Amino acid sequence: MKVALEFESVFEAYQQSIYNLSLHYLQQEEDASDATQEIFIKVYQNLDQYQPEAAALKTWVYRIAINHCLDVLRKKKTKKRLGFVLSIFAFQDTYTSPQLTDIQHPGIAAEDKEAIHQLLHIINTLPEAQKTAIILAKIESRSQKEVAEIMGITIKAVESLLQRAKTNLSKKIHR
Amino acid sequence: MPIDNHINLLKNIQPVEPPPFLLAKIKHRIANKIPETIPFKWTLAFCIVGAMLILINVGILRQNNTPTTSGDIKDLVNNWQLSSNNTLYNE
Repeated sequence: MKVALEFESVFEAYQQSIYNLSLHYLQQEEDASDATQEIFIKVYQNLDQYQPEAAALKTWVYRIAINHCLDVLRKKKTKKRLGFVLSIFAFQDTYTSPQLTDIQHPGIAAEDKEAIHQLLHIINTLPEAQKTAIILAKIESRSQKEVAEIMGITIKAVESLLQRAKTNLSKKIHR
Repeated sequence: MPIDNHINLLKNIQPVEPPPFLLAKIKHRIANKIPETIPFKWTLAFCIVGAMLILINVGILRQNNTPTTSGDIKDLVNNWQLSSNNTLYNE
């Protein structure tokens, strides 16, 4: 009963930020909704194991959310690879290459749509840590200290990740 | 366009409201979630089957590995006229 009550207050506090974070990673409303549900189920199942002295509740929930979203993306990638292999052997035409039109983010205004979709498409090709740093620091506008806490790394490491992400993005944009 | 201008475009992404009835859906899924742990009965059944397989294999190996006596080997050497020394030619 106590866990259920605590869970509802955690859900009320973080549902919007977790849904938006999932949307930034997965870039599709339906996927983000599913991911948010699964993230909060994990939060519910592990709430009694949460240690306040180890990390702030927000940081803990964010870590669960980021790990879950990255898992979803990895599974999607594997599925696409498998589809590609099947299409090589002509079993069936299951493989479709990732398109810009796959991105359905309701938080993007119509006038910025094309430019941001292209940018997100390139961000999707970055390594996981660089992508996480960009999402937290640039889309969610979190301070480097917050990003470092959530990612469990030092502020210097966050700076380095952001710098490398910028260099990679620059190379890919101007290619 | 410098890269910082590109990246600053990301700040135009606005936060959105989560879909309605999310909590109800989560509660429903929690209530109907099949436990991920393997039931005790299944674990016990697997252990028993595993132990039986090991015992059968050990039994078969023991039956087939009865040590050959030195008398048997001598008989075999005599019957097949095998040489029991290291010289290549019988001089």
